[in-house]
Amino acid sequence: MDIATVFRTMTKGVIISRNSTKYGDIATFLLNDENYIAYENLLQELGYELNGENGYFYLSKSETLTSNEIDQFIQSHKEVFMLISILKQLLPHARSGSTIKYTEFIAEFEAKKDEHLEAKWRYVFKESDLKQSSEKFFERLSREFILEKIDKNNKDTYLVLNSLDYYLSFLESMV
Amino acid sequence: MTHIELIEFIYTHRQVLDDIYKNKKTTVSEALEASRLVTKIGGNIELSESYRNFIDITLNRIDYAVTFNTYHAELKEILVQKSRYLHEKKEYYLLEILSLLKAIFLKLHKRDQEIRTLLIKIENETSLDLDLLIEKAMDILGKIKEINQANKQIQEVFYDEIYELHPKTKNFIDDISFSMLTFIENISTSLENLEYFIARTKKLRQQNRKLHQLSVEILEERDQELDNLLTLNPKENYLTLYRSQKNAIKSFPDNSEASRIIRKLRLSMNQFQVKKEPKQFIISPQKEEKLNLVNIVAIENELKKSGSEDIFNFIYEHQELQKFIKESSKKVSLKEESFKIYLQFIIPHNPKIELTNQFNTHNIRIAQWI
Repeated sequence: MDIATVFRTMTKGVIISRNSTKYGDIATFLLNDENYIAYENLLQELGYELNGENGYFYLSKSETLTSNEIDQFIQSHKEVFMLISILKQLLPHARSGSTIKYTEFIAEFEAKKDEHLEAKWRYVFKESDLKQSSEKFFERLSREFILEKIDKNNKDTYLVLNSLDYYLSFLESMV
Repeated sequence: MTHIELIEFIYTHRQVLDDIYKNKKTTVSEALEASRLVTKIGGNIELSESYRNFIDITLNRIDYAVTFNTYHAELKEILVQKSRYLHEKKEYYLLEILSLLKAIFLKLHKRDQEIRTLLIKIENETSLDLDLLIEKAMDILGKIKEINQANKQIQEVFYDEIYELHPKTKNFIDDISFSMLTFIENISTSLENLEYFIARTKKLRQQNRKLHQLSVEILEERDQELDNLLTLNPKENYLTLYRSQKNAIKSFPDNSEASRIIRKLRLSMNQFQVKKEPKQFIISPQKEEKLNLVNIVAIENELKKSGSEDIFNFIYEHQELQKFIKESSKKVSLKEESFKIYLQFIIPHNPKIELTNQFNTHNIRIAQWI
């Protein structure tokens, strides 16, 4: 593992979680203070900030955001909050480090389906077909680096990554 | 029935017993019905309490309804037996006391296992509603606190009342002391773990409620607070970077599909007659460039005629150089240009030029034209 590899990965917008199988090596690399400081200094030269806490790492921009970037940033966060809210409504025990099952999610959806849940669903997805959207739900949370398949051959079980706490940290500042 | 016969009996009826355990079967053979492994409740057959306890304990599957009763009755009985022993000095009472000590110790051991298993189960519980889970955990916490208090009472009775009673009681308590301390420490640890678990679960419940509230605000567009929060520290927030589009690619066409598309494209493209426009070339006229050169021959002739104590200074101050610098379109250095001409004089061998070991004010070695 070296800084170049870490940089290539993180500039794609990946949040590195310590409990991720895919990016765990990078997290281990960044947990070393020397590596972290060297990388942080390099990034600042390039106009980025390295953020690392509570088992996850991500990059942000040093410069002020443009209005387009702010809009995109806010909308993207709102959608992720909505996704996490759906996840928590159906599987309230889900937390960073726990495992969740796709099949259980679908079963809970059927059992707990209500007007509010459907409104949340429509905020993020357009399709009415639950099965297809559920797949998209898991794909989207995987693409946001919040879920990760526990095993390539196991299509049912997902690990909740430490990056979930990034989004939940906003809640602590809210009344 | 002997122990080995019991094992064989269970083995023979293993499938039926498993079906009853999983609530798949409610009727059984007469032999099984007559055994104490099952109980008939109304028209249904269920596993007997003793057999179910055996399964739960052996497989570490404990029910939340673990009996948390204390040791009050046993401790009271020990004190009664002690009083009798002290009064009558009969061996029988001593054996009773030892038997009670052993019973309490085994109960402690069992409870230790049960509580640890219970905590593992409750910490991994995902089927219960969070409110219910917290309520249950608080209930268990209260009961474990009672057990913790009861353990202190046991210690007091064991060490203060019974220890010195007889060498046999002393030896017995010495033998179990280490294990007893372990159980007591385990209870303390369990209390801490359970308190931490309750705090964690309460936090999880609060997060879930806030998330729910937030989602309502977003849906109703009452989310100004969130907008403000998100833009408060943009330097520390994720997603301010360009996102890779790689993840959006779901599939690639295979070769046959690609060939089919290319064929279709060719057919479509052939239908169009595209008139080729003649190429037009723009020829730009060459720019006239005025050459600005130093007349070295004029300098050399003057050197030949009058000589010089310092050739570099001679060149540096010569009007040809001044003129060149003045007329030059680019910014050039007088010293550098003078030095270039100086080199042109001193590099080829010239008997008229003599290099000295001294340097002039420009730090250039002095060369004389003699």
